[in-house]
Amino acid sequence: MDEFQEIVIGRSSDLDMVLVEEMVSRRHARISLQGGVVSIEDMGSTNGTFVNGEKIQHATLQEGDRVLIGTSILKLVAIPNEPSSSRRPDLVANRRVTMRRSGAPPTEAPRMSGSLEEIPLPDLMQLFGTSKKTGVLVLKTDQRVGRIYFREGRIYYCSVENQPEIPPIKAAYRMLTWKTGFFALDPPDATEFENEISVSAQEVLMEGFRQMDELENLRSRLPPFGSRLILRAPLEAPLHELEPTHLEVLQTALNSANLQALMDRTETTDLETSKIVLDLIRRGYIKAG
Amino acid sequence: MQRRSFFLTLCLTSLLAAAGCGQVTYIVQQYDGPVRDRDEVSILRLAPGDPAQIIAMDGDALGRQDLESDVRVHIEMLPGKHQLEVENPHAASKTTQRVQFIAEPGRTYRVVLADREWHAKKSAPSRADAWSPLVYELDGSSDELVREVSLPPNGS
Repeated sequence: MDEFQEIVIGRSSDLDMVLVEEMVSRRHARISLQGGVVSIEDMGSTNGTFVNGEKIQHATLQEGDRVLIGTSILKLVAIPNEPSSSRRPDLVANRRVTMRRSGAPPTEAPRMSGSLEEIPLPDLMQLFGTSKKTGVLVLKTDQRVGRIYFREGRIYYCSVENQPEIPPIKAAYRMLTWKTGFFALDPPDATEFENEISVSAQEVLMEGFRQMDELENLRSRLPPFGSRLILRAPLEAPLHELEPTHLEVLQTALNSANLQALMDRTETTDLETSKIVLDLIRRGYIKAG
Repeated sequence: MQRRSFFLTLCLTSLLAAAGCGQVTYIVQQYDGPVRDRDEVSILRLAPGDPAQIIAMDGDALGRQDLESDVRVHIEMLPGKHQLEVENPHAASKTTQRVQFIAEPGRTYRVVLADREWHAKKSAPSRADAWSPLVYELDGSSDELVREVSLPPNGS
């Protein structure tokens, strides 16, 4: 982009950047460069413009910011300005979500895939939520595979492979911490789940990030995740005086190899479990063994 | 909670006859992993002559408990909430009833079948059922019932 240049994005064929898809308004958003500052403005679109997962009317963009319009994600990158070494901002090729056909019959919809470094999970969730997608978002990191099941943009199930004990909403919050790896949107899955949920991507993102922040603050007070939690002897107070949720966590702790296993097995979220563990330690019921 | 099934089959007649000694305590470990210290576990004691047949604990089926007169069984469990399914073999109909209790570490418990006569003796209000299983904490050395610890039905 050059100074004072404007790029209008939308579905209309006479625009600077044309995105032909239902979710994009005819004139959707405007990006401009002025005084070295890149800004974006939503032009009253129906489905909104999102910067790094947040719906905006107007925002200043930084290098690396991701803009979601319809089902396309734009990324702002600085490229060297020839012949000097100064860098000027530019928008990288419009679709960062790659479309590829994996030997499927020509009639089958193309599969959406990419890397989580390029398009982090929050953006993907936002994207599939706003575009009311139905399918299974499969995430693969070095050691883990996770699945988020979408039905018309709402999340109805989440799972982490080989850890069926993790409740779906907890699995979703866990996956939000995955920063590297690959994703693919698989076709809808006919599997029926007993413990289906129904939450919007936005709800999961907001609550998930709140919990991650709070959990981070608690982490230094928790025992190491590899440590075993054992009963204190003698107990300060009898178990029957414990609140049911506390008793449940305590009992699961006694049955778990370590704190990480406890986190995996409890019905409560990692944040709630951490709070209860800290409370049980404070009240003299358990200690790290 | 992860369940671990075990089957308690107590046909110890020949074993005990060979032993020829006083009372023998047969210990069943109802938790995963290595043996834990006495003060880290709770005990459910089954004694000869107990009319209660404990069919299952926390969903894990148990075998029949036909104990010889000089045998008792200690089911060692982790402290916390437990549910027992109990049958009364002397009852007219073979119904199974559930009872829950919270086991404290280092304590010993026993299931008692309470009928209307029992409730009358204890000056407790009679229950609608002809019999009901109750869990009592025991004095471990004297076998005296100390206090009832059953949770109310559907209680948490």
